[in-house]
Amino acid sequence: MIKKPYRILVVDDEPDLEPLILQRMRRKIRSGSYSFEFARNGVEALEVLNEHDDIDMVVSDINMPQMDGLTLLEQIPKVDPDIRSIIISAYGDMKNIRTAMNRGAFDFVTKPLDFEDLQVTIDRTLRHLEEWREALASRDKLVALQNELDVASNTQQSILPKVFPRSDDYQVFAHMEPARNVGGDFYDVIRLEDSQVGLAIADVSDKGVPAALFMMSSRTLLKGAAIGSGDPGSALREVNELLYEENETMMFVTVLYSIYDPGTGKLTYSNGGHDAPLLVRSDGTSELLPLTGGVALGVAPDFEFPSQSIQLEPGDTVVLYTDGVTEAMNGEGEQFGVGRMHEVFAANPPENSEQAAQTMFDAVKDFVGDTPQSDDITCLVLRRD
Amino acid sequence: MAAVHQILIVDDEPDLEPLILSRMRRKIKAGVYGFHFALNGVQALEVLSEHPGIDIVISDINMPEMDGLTLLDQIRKVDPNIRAIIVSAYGDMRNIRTAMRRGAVDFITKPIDFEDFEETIDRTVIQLREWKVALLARDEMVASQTNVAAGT
Repeated sequence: MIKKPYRILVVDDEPDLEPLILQRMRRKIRSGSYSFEFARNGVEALEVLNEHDDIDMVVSDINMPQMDGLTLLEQIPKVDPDIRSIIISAYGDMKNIRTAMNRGAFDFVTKPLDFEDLQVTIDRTLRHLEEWREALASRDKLVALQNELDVASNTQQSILPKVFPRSDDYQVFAHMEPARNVGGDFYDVIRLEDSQVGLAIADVSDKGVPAALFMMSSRTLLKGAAIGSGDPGSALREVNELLYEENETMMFVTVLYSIYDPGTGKLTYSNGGHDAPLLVRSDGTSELLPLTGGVALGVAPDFEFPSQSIQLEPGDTVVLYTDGVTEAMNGEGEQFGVGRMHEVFAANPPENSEQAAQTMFDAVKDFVGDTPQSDDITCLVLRRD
Repeated sequence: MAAVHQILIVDDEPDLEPLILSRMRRKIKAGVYGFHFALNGVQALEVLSEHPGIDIVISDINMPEMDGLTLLDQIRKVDPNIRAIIVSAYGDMRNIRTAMRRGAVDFITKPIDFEDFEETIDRTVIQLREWKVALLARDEMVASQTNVAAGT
């Protein structure tokens, strides 16, 4: 891109100045660094500024008819606060120079004009202006980026169910606490045939926007597969094939997908490289459910994902979580770990699904203290009443 | 608690310190300005390294050990965001121009006109504040880009 010359407005009632500047600055003009506009007094200068919205700086004399340079200094910011001004004063006219500086002149030069000094001063002013504009540009970009991230974050949050199935027999509650604007964790609660309900929790390997995009497609594929399949293992198998086919990023997603049958209390689950679910009894004792032997999805084709079933008794609670829970770190670098999950529920036996999830989030929050959250934290709780 | 704006005054005349403290006492008491003092450029650099919160330096030109114009060059190396104002003899155009060209943002003349002194500081503080807000945005921009990118 060719850079436009800086536009400099010179304001002086002496007509001799114009040819002098054009002559002395001819190199800068020819090389396309500067271009000049001229005005004879403050009023004319303001007219020029209003006509040309691309003037970068003003070099103005002080004593002029109609409107002097000091008055002009006060008017310029009203046209554009980012225009920088240099004042030309008589040599040693300290009173006017001080007034000019206090009215916001960036610098001054003295008469008779020393063109070398004028050149240096113009360059210094323009350099300052350039830095200022870059900083302003980052500010504008920042606002735009934050707006886009907010949209992405809202879109992501909006696909996570917030209303959960609830009946006399069972309840579900889930929550995701993203570490950044956008996250790689998700959960889903899917209504299936015969009042069965599909419960999924997942964690994409990476972070940031790439992980968020992978999360969106994983979630959509899983939802489709879940609706078409009565078995968690075959749903995961299908998602794995589809993710693998179109995965050019080497990202992967760990998924724990389960189907709960409220009629029988049977929970069937299959594990794609995810952490083992925690089964909490009504007295607060808990155990990890055995893993089923699957691997993370999206890495390799033709994998089998075995399913396994357990029978939930009334009062039993199953907690699905991502490693944002177990690997949450405190100030000493310790991880929250599975042991603390057992302790938390032993001390606070689950009363309902929402309270159980809240207990877990509170415990993690207490544990990490002020340490910044480095990973998404997600929890999905099923309770049989 | 430290004042909001920390200002370092560099002058080899020890009389200046009580004068400034007395003239600026309202703003000092209100916690708006806090003043540090040094008697020459070498001392000034020491004070700057001890107090990283200083963001405005007001320096005389003629001083033993290290003069104000040399100090101007050094300050830029310590922290380019520090704003320097030079104090010159009234009408000493040559030194004032040299100081401005070396990056001083403004100048004041001796004997000090305290109204001008205060106005100059106030104006510099306002510009500095705008500049810092813009810099902060630039830093946040970098942080946001990290936030968007993959990996940790």
